[in-house]
Formats: sequence, C-alpha cells, structure tokens
Amino acid sequence: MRSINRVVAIVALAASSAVCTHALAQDKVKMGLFIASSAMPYFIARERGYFAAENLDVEGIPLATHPLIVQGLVKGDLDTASNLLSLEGANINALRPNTLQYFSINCQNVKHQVEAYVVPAANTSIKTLADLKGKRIMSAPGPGNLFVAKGVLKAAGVDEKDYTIQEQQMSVHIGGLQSGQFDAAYTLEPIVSMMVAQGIGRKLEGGLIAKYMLGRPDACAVLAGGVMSVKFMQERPQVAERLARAWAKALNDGNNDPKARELLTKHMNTSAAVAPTVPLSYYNMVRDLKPAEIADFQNLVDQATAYGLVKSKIDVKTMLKTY
Amino acid sequence: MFNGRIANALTPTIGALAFIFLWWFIAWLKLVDPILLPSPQASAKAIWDGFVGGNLMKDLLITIRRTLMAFGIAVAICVPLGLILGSSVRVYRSLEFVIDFFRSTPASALFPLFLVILGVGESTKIAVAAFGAGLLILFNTAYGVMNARKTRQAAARVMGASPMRVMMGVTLLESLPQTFVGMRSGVSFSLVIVIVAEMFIGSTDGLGQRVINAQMIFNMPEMYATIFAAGVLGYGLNLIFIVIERRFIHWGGK
Repeated sequence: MRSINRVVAIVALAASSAVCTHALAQDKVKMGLFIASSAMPYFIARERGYFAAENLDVEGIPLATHPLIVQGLVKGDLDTASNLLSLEGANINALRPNTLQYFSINCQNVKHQVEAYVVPAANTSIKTLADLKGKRIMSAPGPGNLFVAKGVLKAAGVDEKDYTIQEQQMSVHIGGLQSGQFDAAYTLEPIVSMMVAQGIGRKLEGGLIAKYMLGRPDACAVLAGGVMSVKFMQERPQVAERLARAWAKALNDGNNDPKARELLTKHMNTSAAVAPTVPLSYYNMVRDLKPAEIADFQNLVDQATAYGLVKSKIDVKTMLKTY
Repeated sequence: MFNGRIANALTPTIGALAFIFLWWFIAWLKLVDPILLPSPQASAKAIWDGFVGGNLMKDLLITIRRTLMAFGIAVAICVPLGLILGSSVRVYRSLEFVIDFFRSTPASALFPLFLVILGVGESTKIAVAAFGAGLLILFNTAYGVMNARKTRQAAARVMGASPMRVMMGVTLLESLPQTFVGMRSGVSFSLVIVIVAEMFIGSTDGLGQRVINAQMIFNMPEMYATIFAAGVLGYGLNLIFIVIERRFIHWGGK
C-alpha cells in the first residue's frame, strides 16, 4: 500500500512539474524595430513587464530600413514589427496580398505634429508655405517623405517647378540649415525640436499632412503603425492576441504617461533636452479608430498610389486587424 | 587554332552564365519568395524598360561621370605624391601610420566629415570617392617606387644619368606595374563609394539613388536591374584597365 502511494505521489509530482514548465515557458515572438519614437510602445511593454505578464518573450530586432522589416516579415524571420511605414505596408500588400496587417495605427496631425517645414531662425522673410517659392529645400530621405514634402507644397499652392528639393539623411538636416545650403527643411521629430531648441531653426508649420493633404487639421495622417504578418496571426492566433493585449497597455502609457518619454533618451536616440516635450504621434489600437480616420488612411494611400509610390489601388480595410 | 580562339573568347562568359543559371534555377524552384528575388527574366525586362523608356542610361552616365572625376582627381594627386613618398623610405615611414589608418577606415564612415567640410552638394560625393581611391593609388605607387629594382637605378646612375632622369626614366617605369594595380583597385573603389554616396547623401540621380528608391518601394526587378548595371560598369572599367595594362605596361614582372 505504501509503495502504491509512493508511485502515485511521484506520478503526481512529475505531472504537476510538467504543467508548471509548460506554463512558465514563454512564447517567443520576433519583432522588427525601426529605431524612432514610433517604436516606443515596444520599449514600454518590455520595460514595464507587459509582454512578460502575457507570458511572451518578445525579441526586438532593430533594422535600419523599412524594406528590411518587410523582407523579414515576408520571409518569416519576423512575426511582427513595432512601427512599419504605412505606405511600405500598403505597397507590399498590393504586390503580395495578405502579407501583413496593422493592429495599431499612429496618427499625426496638427495636434500631434511629427512632420514640419523648418526655416533658418534668422530668416524672417519666410512666413508661410507659399513663401517657399524659389527656395532650396531639403527633405527627409526616401520616396515616401519626398512624396509628402511635395504633396504638402502642392496643396498649399506651391508648384513643383517653383522650388528645388533634395533628399538628405536626417543626420545632416541641422548642418544643412545652419550652413545656409538650404532655405528650408521638410523634416521630422526629434530633429524639428532640436533645431528649434538650438536656435538654428524656426518651425514654419507642422502637422502638414493632415491639414494640407487630407484637408482637416485633426485628420489622422497614418504614417506608421504596428503590424503582424498574416502567417503569424494564422499559425499562432493565441500568441497574437496576447501580444495585442500587451501592446494596448503600452500604447495607453505612451499616450498618457509622461514618464514613458524617458525611454526616448534611453533607447531611441532622442536627446534628454527635448525628450520631455518632443511631439509624438497618437497611438491607437485599430479597434479604436473612427470611420473618418480609416477614410483618412485610405485617402493618403490613394494619393500615394496616384503618385506611383504604391503599386496598385488597395482597400486599407484589408490591411487592418482588430484585437 | 580557330576553335582555340573561340574557346578563349568564351571562357570569361562561363562564370556569368553559370551565375545566371543558378539565379534562374533558384527563382524557378521558388526557393526564395519571388517578391524578394525576382527571376532573371523579370530583371532583364526591367533593364530593357529602364534603358528604353526610363532613366537608367541617364543615371548610368551620371554615375560614370562622378566615378571618373573622383578617379581623375585621385590619380592626379596621388601618383606624384606616391612617387615622392616612395623615393624616400624615411618620408614614407613617417606618414605610413596616417596612410594605413585612413586606408583601414571605411570611406563611407567619413561622410559626415566631408559633409561638414564640403556641404551636401556634388563635390562631397566626388571628394569621398577620390579620397578612398587616392589612398589605394598612393600606397601602391609608393610601394612600386620603393620596390623598384636597385640594379637598374644603379646602372643608370653609373651611366651618368641625373637624379631626375633616373626618377623619370627608370624608377617611374619600374613602379608603373604596381601603380596600375593601385589604379585598377582605385577605379573600382571610386565606383563603389560614388554609388554608396548616391544612396545615402542626398542625390536625385545616379545608380545609387536608383537602387535605394527601388528598394524603398519594393520594386525588386528594378533594384536588381540597377545593381546589374552597376556590376557591368565595374567589370567594364576593370576590363579597360586590364587592356591598357597589357598593352602599355608589358614589362611588368620581367
């Protein structure tokens, strides 16, 4: 009798330890990161234990360009990405339907100014975008930024033949404006804040895409968001759901907790001087988007398609996933 | 004999054909997603479209112009400098650290420094490429001079040649094979740096800008078409140097 009890106890112990091990083993997820302020939700979720609370081990993999993130998602090397450019996502889905879906969307507009035209602080003659006629302009790099920089000016009544524009890496924007080689810069945060803080530049106008290209100052200009590959969502639906739950908490902190901004300096190349005040986009889970904001997203993607940046017309609703 | 000539002419194409076949085979088996690796046919079509209806020829010519300007500057400065440095071992040794230091530093890492000095215009792209290529040419020219056969120099001196005559008539000719090695490496290096500069330091034209733009909008056939054009350009420049070297520097190694 005693030996039977002993066997039962051993079996029970083994079974319970197996269950515990299974419960403790975290699900691995590989997340591509483009190191910019829009990657902040990843660092919030990691440092505040939101991933761990969902039993997830999310490995952040920094990649230098958005096409490399798309490549990782297509190949299956990445399951998800913290911040992928919306036009990049639209393009790959137009070329290869059902590659990825956005589960969170970052909105920028006049209230959440991420992009701006900046002119030298000493220049007092340029007062509005219309005054950029005949000027030498530098733009944030890449066809997407160039499309927006030109699109904003066109909507403001400045024709492309009336100015010269050249892409420049973000790292040379401050020097380019300071040295007088350019009369204006279409640039992004945190460079805008740094130019202003250092007395080099004056923000001519921000929140341009919403106001000029989408026609409403409070429109949701969707330039980036969090994505998951469709393969990942289909093969590991429970893990994807838990990831989204952790992400929603991180977005809430990013929007409402000023202390989260400390992570900008720690992980996202933002100087401590501007981190507390640098404007950030507004993070939304897709479930929280209003119909008008989805229409804004569609509007921007349609304009990019007409410009030739996105290969063919795409319904953005097919790119959105609600959790 | 005729067959031998044909075989000789075809030999260089074997590697290229094998490469294209391997590419085609991988694409045909779809070992890599076609969105990431287009077939050689799709890339060939993108090359055709780029030349016929697009700006590929214009971008190619712009990159050639920048490369040749950078290379010309590098040759004009670094061949004479290499001759001077090589003719005095003491002078060369005193500068060896600086030369080797910058030779080991990726020229593209010095973009910010050149941007500070020259600004964001055309001159920066050419200057960085000239700098990188120049170090290769300088190093090889100096070593060519230092390793010139002493017996020939001594013979010229014994026959009463002046130091300048020895330099121009013996040392310079002795160093030319090694100088050409540097120039061949230098022209390839110029091309690489010009393309990288076109990709990353504000260019509205050139092959590099074409590659990065195609990559950003996921137009992979065009990206590979442009890379192919850059590769053919590099091969062509290299080939020109081989022909010149065989034709004019026939005494090399003899």
